[in-house]
Amino acid sequence: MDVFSLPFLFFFLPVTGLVFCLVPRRFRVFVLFVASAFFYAMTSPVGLGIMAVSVGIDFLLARPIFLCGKGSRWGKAAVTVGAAKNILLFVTLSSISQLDLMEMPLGVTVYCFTSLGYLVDLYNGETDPITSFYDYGLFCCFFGKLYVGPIISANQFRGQLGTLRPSLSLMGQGFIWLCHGLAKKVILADGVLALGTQFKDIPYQEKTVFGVWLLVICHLLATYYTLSGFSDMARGVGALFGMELPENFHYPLQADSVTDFFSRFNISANRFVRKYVYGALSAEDNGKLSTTLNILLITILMGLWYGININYLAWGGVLGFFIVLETLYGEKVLHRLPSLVRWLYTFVAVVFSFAIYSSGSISQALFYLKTMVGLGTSRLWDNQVLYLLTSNWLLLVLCVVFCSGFISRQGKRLQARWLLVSQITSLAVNLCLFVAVLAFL
Amino acid sequence: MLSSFTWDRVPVPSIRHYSLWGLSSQLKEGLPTKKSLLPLTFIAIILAISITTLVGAPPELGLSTLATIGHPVRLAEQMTQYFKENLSIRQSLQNLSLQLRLMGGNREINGIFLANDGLIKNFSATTDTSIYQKNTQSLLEFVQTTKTPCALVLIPTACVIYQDQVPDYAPIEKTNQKLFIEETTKAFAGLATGVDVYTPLYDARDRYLYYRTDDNLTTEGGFVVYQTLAKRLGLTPKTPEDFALDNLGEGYYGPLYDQWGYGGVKPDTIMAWRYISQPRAWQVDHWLRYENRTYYSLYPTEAVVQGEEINGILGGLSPKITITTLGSGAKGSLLVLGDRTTLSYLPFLAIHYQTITFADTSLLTDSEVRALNPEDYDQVLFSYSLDTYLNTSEPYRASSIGSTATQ
Repeated sequence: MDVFSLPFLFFFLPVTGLVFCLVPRRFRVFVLFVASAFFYAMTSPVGLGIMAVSVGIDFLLARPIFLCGKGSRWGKAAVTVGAAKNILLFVTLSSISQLDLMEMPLGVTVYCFTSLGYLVDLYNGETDPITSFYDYGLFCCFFGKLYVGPIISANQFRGQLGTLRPSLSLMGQGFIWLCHGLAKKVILADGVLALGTQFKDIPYQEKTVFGVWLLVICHLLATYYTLSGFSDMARGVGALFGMELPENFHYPLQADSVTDFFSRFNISANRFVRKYVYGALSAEDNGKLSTTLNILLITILMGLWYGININYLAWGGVLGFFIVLETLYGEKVLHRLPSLVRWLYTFVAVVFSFAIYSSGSISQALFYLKTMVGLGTSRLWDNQVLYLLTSNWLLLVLCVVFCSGFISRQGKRLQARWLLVSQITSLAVNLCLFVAVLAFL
Repeated sequence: MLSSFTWDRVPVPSIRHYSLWGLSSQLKEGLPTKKSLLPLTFIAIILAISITTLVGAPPELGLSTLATIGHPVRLAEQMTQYFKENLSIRQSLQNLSLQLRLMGGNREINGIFLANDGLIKNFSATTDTSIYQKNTQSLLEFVQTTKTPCALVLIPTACVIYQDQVPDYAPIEKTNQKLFIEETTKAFAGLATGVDVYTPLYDARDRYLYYRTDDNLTTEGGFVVYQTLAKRLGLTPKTPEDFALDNLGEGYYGPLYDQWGYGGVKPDTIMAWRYISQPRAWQVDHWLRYENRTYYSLYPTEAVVQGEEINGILGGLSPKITITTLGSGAKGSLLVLGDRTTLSYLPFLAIHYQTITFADTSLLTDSEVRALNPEDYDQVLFSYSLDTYLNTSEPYRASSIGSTATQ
């Protein structure tokens, strides 16, 4: 069962919501914890066992780390064990899934790095231990955010535990986010991924320049809409139960520099790596070399976040290369350029990086890059590319329109001027979106 | 350096939290009442759909269902299947899904085009040309060794005959069916009678040649094939005036319709072309390995079942069908090895032969195919749709008729 499935929407969510509303406040965390465990079991019983053991170990490690405090040998040992366990678990399961030996269990990245951050915060004295196992279990494994996060800190989460209650206004926002997330995943991401696969299935000798560009752009859009769709669904489901989860993607495709793109793409993971890796290494920017190495370290780790795969590593490296150029040499130049030119440069750079991200191997990535610049073939397009374009023009237009904040800005303008009209419009639009999502499920 | 390199360029908006249970000032101002319209509407819709689904099609709660509670993944799969099949607004959603896809320019779903009037299968041959070469080579060897005169007819698929109706730029010309048919017919020149029916079918493309919901020739399409085939076999083809058209059923939905899955296509009409110029009677024997059936008409109405009206043509498809003309009026015997497209024109050929034996090799074992002896017949005809000829080894298997050696 997935968050974007009919049983979830018409059975799991209503039943969980009903029980959540009816139980006394002190049992609400327990209800969500049990619901998360049940949800996870319906996806992967083996994964549930792995998650329970991993989260259990971290829960037990938390108190000694807090009691021993920063600087103590035992505290350091405990946090090292916890960190190593989580990293090893992530790397092992990711490698196994890359070798097609087993599917990566749901939520490994989320609960491993949520726990890791919590243990490090405990060690540094930045947070207090979560004493209830149900609170901790919910913090790590809330079913809404198991797919791609966002990764939240214990302090962000703790403050909300005491005030978990159903709230109509938060539910309203929650339903909007849930609708948007479902539409992004079910309609846009799945549609554009299927289109990208059709472009990929064109034999190598028949690939054209335009065809490969569209292949890569489709995979870029599919990745963006899948990840941001899951993030919106997480925020939406969280809001339905009174939880506020932070935004994880802020229109990265309208960024005007690669640095800006990187800061808008998977924001919580970005912050995690910056805080716990950059900070842990006490990295300092003392010169061009150290800045370069620090940037590359972060971008490569962000690439590996999506899986232990040479392509993801290379993708992170390519983005890091552009960020280094912008940081060290390009900032003054970029500011002088018109915004359209800046956006075009960013878009092309990101698309080139996704040629590496979306290919199955480095050699395939090089083939894509060669073809995109016209070196691999002399044909710009053919009937097959035109056919796929004309058959999916509306999908591509919608993907382009919704990856910018244009609609959102118009909605806010309408809200500022005519509140009632904006509320009625929002209701009508989101209802239509929900029905459209059901049509595609 | 670091000051010029900042990561925090994104403001994270916060949400003002209104309480449902407390008497907050916002409640008194009435603002949350307007804001509660959206969540209450969604809650009402979700509950309404859930309840109407569960009430309209109550799930079976037998022992086998209860046992799946111990297998959560299977339970989830069953629940997904249950909601997919029984969601109360399923039909409306299916229509909406189709309309949205069509609006987006997509006229091909599950490998099927939505044409002006019906469905057309997007045919493309396998890239493995060895199948075509094996089929052609084995048939050439057969026609060179057998004494019985042979003929070969390859029938193009609807997507190339109705190419004006497929979406623009659809890559149907990736498999050049006309070229395949011409090349194959030429390969048999001097050894067998190659019959090219592409041009007559293409010239008659405004007619109802292929079913709307089935990748098969109609009886009208079969008549166009018959007229060309009969001439090439040295027969005098009958004209349309020799037949009376009879409606066998108007509600036929073929396999393409199930594959399409979205509805919105008119059903097909199955027409019988009853020969009226001269009094004739036929016996149609179906061999089905463990039972036999016999009809006394080329279009037996007793075989017509609602939803399967196409069985009204010769009583439907069987591994072996023998058509015998009762009384005088026809002579000669014909062995036909082919696929289901052959049934569309067999009733017309039956006018000219005393006996026709049709065998669909895909429904026969190798030994049953080899048991067919071409020397028992005056003529052997290999008849396949191009889809079968390019993508399957049935023509290769058919070339083993009369052979004693195991292949």
